[in-house]
Amino acid sequence: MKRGRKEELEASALAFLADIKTPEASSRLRDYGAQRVLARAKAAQGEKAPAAERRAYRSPALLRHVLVAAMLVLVIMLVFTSGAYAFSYGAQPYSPLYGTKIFFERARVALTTSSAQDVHLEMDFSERRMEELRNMVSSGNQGGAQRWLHEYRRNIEGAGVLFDSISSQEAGELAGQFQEMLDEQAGMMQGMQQGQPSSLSEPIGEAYRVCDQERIRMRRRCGQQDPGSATQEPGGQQRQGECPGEGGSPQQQDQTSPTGTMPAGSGTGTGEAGSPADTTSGTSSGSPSDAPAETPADTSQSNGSQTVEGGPMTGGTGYKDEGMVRGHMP
Amino acid sequence: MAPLEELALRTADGDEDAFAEIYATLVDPVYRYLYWNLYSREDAEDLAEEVFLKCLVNISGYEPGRGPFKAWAFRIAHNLLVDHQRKRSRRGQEELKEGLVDGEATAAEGLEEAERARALRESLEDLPSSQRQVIAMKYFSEMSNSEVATALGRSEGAVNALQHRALRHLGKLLEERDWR
Repeated sequence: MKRGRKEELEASALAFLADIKTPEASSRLRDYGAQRVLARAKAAQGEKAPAAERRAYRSPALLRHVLVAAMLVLVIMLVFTSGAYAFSYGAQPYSPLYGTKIFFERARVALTTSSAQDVHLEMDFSERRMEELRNMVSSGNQGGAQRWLHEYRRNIEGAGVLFDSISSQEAGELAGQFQEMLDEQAGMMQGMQQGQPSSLSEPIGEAYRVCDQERIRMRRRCGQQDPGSATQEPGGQQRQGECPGEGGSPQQQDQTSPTGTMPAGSGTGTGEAGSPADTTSGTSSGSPSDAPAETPADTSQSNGSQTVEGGPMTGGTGYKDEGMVRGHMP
Repeated sequence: MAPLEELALRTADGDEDAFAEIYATLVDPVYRYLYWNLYSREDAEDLAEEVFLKCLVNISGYEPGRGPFKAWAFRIAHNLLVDHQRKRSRRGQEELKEGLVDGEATAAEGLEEAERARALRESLEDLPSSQRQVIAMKYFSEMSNSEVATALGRSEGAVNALQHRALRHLGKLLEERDWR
């Protein structure tokens, strides 16, 4: 397009626009528009603030988002917790997940509502410890022996302490079960300690002592005779004077318990080994359950210097640790 | 500082008289700009009121250093106009035609004026939107190239070129309709 033509078109358009008259705005807009706008602005500001406040509480979308997020967090936590619990359930003391397993055990104890339930749980957990010990012994992995000992001690001592805070009726029922369990565990430890390297036998010996002390304590609580002055490690080493209430004759002791077997086996009866009467009446003291029928071997106990072979160990107590004790006896 | 910018700052401080002065200064340019885009006096008046309401509500966000107040106000007008046209196009062509007839009847005084207005409206409708905006702002709202550039978010040079192109295009369209 030529320059002259362009200018001509522009000029004609400008001339046309100059002649155009735009219809006037109405008085409504020109004269009253400003007031109306001001009034509307004030009304809008007045509505804005409460609306913003309400929005946070009433907005269904916001509420839905919060609920969904909370549910999601809950589900993730549930899945994570269940997964951790399931994975750690069979963890052994040398396993990295063992801490998680113990954490869940502590959590369960913390969540119970009564001390009696706590005692039950601690007893259950101590049984788990024994299972772990069996696994350690069979696998030969002693990596977590100290950790295991720590947890076992906590279970046993924890249960013992909790007895103080439960009612006498409940305590009476539980004490029998607890004693029975301790006897069984002590026997198992005796059996398992044999032939183990020191890295495992020492923790087992220490655990045995913990178990034995708790047994003595429980006997005192129940008003029973102490099983004897001698507490012995499962290896056969005897420790004396740990029970202040000592004085009962070996025959009065529970022959099914490891401690009951110690005086004769160790050959250190030291004259406390029982009166002649004891040799004839094993049931004269102690509870019936604690004093099974005397065996001929009991007579050898009174000598205080008999060998184990002729001692109560061969008396057929039916205890599986007898052989081990016998093997460690001098 | 130009008067409108001073008035805007006073309005932001709560001075209603200052806003009334702004309104009195800008109501006609804004109305004309809207009218020559909507071709309906009623629609243009309603939308003009919305423009001033939005200006008042957001006036604390105006910064004098970023351009003249008039350009800022026309930017709001332009945005509202685009929104309005989008809504109207969604409602359909039927309603648009009715609106055109209504605007025509109230806009023109006398036969020739009515014919001229019709010719201009039809020609403007045939222009691209950007060219139509420039024509409306420059010749009906009496804005400078700089103000138009700020309002449309373009450079001044681009607005200048757009203006010449729009005038040539409009001249040609009017010529085709036998208006010279």
